[in-house]
Amino acid sequence: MFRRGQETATAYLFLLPFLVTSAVFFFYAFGRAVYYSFTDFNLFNTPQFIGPQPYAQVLADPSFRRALANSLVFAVVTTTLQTVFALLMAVALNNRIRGMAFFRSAWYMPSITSSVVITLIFLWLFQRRGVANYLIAQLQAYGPLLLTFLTGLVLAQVLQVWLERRAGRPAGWFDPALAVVSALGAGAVTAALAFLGVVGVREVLPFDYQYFADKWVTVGGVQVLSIPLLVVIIQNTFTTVPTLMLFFLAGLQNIPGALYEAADIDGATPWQKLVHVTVPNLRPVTFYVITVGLIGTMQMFDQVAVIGSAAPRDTLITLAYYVYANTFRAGAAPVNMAAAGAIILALIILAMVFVQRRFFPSEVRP
Amino acid sequence: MKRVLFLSLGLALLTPFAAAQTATRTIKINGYGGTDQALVNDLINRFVRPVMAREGVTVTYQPLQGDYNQALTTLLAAGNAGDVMYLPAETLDGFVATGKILPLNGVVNTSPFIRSLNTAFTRNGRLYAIAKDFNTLTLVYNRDLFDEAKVAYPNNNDTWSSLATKLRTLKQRLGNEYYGICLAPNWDRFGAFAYATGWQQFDSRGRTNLADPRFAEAFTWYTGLARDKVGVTPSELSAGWGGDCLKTGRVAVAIEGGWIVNFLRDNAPNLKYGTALLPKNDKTGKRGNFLYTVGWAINANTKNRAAAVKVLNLLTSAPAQQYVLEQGLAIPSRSALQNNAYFKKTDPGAQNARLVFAGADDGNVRAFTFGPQGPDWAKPINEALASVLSGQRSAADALKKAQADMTTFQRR
Amino acid sequence: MTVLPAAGRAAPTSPDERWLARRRWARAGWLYAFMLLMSLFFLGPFLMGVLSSFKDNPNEYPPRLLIPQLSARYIGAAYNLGVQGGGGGWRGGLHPGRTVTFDVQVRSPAGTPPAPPTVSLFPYQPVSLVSITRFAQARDFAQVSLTPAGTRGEVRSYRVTVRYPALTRQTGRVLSAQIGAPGDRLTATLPDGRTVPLTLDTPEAQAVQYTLAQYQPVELVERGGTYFLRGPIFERTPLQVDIQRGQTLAGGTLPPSDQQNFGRSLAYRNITPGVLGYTFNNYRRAFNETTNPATGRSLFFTWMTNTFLYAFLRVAAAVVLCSLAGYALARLNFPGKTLIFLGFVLFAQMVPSQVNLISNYVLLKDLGLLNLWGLWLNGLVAAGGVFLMKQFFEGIPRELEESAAIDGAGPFTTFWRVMLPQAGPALVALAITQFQGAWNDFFWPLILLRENTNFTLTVGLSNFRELYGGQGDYGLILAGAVLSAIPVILVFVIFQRYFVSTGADSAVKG
Repeated sequence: MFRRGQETATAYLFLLPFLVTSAVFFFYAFGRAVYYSFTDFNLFNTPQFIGPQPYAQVLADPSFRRALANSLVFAVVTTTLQTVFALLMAVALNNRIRGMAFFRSAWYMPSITSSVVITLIFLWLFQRRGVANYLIAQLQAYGPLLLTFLTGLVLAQVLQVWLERRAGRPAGWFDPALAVVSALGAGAVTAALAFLGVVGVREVLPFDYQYFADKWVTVGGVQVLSIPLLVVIIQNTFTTVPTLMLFFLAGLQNIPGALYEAADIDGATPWQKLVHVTVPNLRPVTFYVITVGLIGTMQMFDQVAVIGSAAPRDTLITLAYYVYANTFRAGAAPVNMAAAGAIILALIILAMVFVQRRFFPSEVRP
Repeated sequence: MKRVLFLSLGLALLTPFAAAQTATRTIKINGYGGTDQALVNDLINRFVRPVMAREGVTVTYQPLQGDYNQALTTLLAAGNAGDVMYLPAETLDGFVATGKILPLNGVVNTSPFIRSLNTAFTRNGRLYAIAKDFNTLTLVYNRDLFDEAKVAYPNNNDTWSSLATKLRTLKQRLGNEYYGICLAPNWDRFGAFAYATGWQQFDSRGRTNLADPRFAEAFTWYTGLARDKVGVTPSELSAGWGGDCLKTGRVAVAIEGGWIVNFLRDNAPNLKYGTALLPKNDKTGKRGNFLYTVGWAINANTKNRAAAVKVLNLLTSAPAQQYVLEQGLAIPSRSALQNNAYFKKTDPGAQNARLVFAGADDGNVRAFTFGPQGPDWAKPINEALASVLSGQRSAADALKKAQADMTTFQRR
Repeated sequence: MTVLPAAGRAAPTSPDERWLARRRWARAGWLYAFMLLMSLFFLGPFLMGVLSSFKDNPNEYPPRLLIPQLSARYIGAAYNLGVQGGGGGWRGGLHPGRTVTFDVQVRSPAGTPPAPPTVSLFPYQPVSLVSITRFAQARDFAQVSLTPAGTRGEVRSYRVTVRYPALTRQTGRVLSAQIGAPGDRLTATLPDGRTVPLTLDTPEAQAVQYTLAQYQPVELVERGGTYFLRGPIFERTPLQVDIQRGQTLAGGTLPPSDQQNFGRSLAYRNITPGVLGYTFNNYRRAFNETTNPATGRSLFFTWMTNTFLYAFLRVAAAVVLCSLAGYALARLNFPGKTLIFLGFVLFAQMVPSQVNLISNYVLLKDLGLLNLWGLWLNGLVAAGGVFLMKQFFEGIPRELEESAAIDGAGPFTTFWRVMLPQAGPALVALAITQFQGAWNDFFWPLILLRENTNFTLTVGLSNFRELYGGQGDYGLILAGAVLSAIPVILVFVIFQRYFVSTGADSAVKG
């Protein structure tokens, strides 16, 4: 289209700022990190080559092992949770309805605000006498009423469906119209029972649970998941589910309706449709979501840094934070170990991407 | 080659933004940001600049924001740290290891300063910093609660057992909603009591012995206060620390230092509080205490050593320290200041300052440190305290486990 | 899937239309209910945070949803008190020559001595992040008195009167100023920047001349070119009320901010708050308590402008440089293209930034660029942005360019005249993602920004957490968090369409 020489020159001119900054701040930096990871550099000396010894030190460092375990647990659990919840929500909401714009805005809110802001809010919510524990206490207090209502709902629904079917109408167990009636009935019964004093609000003590403490979920005596990390997992799932759900929703709307009609004709149940039609057709989106999720969660840093001293170090330390903490330290800092840690983190992420590319090929690229 | 090219490109693009280099004789001081910035600038303006200007030396203060230790480390490594700088006693070991801190023996006269503070900055016979100010622990108590329960206030003659009796009586008279004392499951409060028994943090081989009966005595007393809910951990009240506990108005005593004064003034302005020294151990008749201190140190690579020493001397001079004290900003390190008029004032803040000052020289006082292995050293102790205070273990069990953990930790 | 009732086992042969319609309606109802519930779930933490940021104590338990700071009655009272104090209903404060009245109701049950409470002003000035200036306290200037104001049943009302007499009897033009730098004479800096000597014409005024620190706000009277000191202006009027044993507080003009001594010692941190000082107190504190008097600038405000500047720079660089690079990679043929795409675009996106942390920090430090400019340079051209633009340009039909090439246009002209005008939506999407990324960026600012005047909001807020979180002062933290979230939420609400479409499209279509 254009003259060859001119085209090459223009291309490189267009690319110049990108190439220069990448070369300096990425490739040169990458090279230096690799170099440092084979030296005895501690910020105060001239680096001397000492071979792979820093890697051995890093692998022997209990806090690195903790960081590695925390990062992997966090990445796997968070990615799984957010993908599953996002998919289920997308399926539940796959309807073209009015007012979707409003709901979208509302659900997007967690993912557009900064992780620092959300972490601060979560720190506050999950205090020992915070809003989260207050809600749990309320749930305990209103438990009897809630239980009465749910029991009433189920009984009324079963009764109605049975009556409808006897009258020859093809009512499903989750028939929405009947459910409205059931809910109203159950509500009325609960209100009546509460008024008569049969059931009521229980007196409960405040639910006191300290989340940001040295508490662990252990499996066979091995500390697998700390409670503070669990809170961060909840927070991360909470912030990403809406975004991912919208990804899935877009994917769902690209699935031809004919597939569902065919399934309906075959008499498939909603569950069968989900497993045999929806999920296979969403494979590209799913793989994209998982890849992006894993890369992102493996690098989790902001939450750890913001929570900082509010939780014991071991419960939250991740690989990214390990690198940071070993670079910025009081006095001589084991920068070589930090660099080795960073390289290991990079290798893990690259390996994850490679495995996905190699074994789960998809037409979607990040 | 490539690198040079990129760098010079970068430089050419960015020279307008790069800071201009100055070549005059300057003494740069590094310290904390925040209010310290205002305080030290004030000190420099009043006591340092006028003197140094006569010698043609300009003095500047460069505050380091965020984590001071990290920031100072990078500056030292890059060779552009200040000539004079803050040096926290807790992280002294890490900085001494860099070889960038000038030993002050024979350079600065150390005799006017409180001896235990000098010890806190000494390693292998070398003194690396002069204490800028310090803090110790005291008993801070809510007068209203003691009045209501008709129990005498804690005082400086209290022993472990007499204090425990007072707290127990108070708890009995005030009932469920109120507590005697706020007990942090933490070495940084408990340690002061361990020292009172004469227990040593490290033996001659650098090992920690938690099975020592003296340690066990302190441990049993401290955790025993939690029996019948006389003592309560801050987190049980959804509080972060002792000051927060007092603020709730439901806890009679907290073990805190001078930092609590500002906090209470801002967060519980109508709380009537008093201060007493920590109680004495019944057997030894001594108190224990921690010294929390930050010192002034000199950069070993300073180009103007004489001027830097002079600045350090001015910053720690008697008039400068008196000024700091009278402004109620910090507790200075000169022993002669104990007779200062400020300490005779009757407001609760000044009273607290007097006892914090007195605490530095009374009984077994040790600098607050975790030793060469860093903060993880305290973990076995903290875990043991937490498990007993929350009722999960007996004191004997917890101590046994703590000793095992400590041995593993110190073998690393 | 459309909104249809779930099919039963035996499909109806002749469906009852009304039966079906009823199900459609019910189904839609459930759907909306579910969506509302989810919205509440996703917005809940923010709403709770926003609501609590108005409270005196966001850690109160149980957490209330109806709070005095948002009730019309107390906002009205705060406004009224602000007017009485002379600073206006909005800003509040206590000015010289003003009198403020404040009512307290005490319940003293039969059998308890009906003694009146004791009232006093107390010193109260929260520690600031950066300043140690001791401002004058209302206690040293104003007198407080108590008069009974009636009894109704067990409840006795009392009227607290705070009188703040002016330090001069001169009259003339009244104006506000700040005390100037210490010197031989007391001076004041006028709002127009002039510094004038002050005349102290009463013994009361002379008595306080050494207690006024630099930057203390004061009120002056100007008469014939002479400036008389009327007195300092107080942002707060802190009142303490101690009631007798056996009595309880039954109400007052404002609710107390602190209670001690079994509910018998009540502190009102500010009885002349104005609406800003009452409802928006934590927001005002976020700005005021970070004010450095040496520069007169609020750090929080500086962080905000820094963040805006950084976000703007990032967006500007991305829009220009990413689209250039993206276009080159999408449309131009040149040796090394694949290598650049794989290495500089794809590989660079996968490697975690912690790898580059050490080198970039040291490099920028050596260049003297540990500031916003260094931060900007460090992420000047985002690989993700290049990728986005490349994808976009690849989707544009080639015919447009070919016709331009026939007209003899070179690559640059083609890009500038033909391609870029097409790229509107993609550029907006790029700009928004870059704005959001810059605004929320935390890792690199934390590493590279070392002076608190250079901080961005995220780093500043995490500093807030360290300084105030340990003390449990979440009011300030929540207010700061809300303030820092507002701009990005605004951008989102305005450009919502682009947010949603780009994210999903690039995912699905790749």
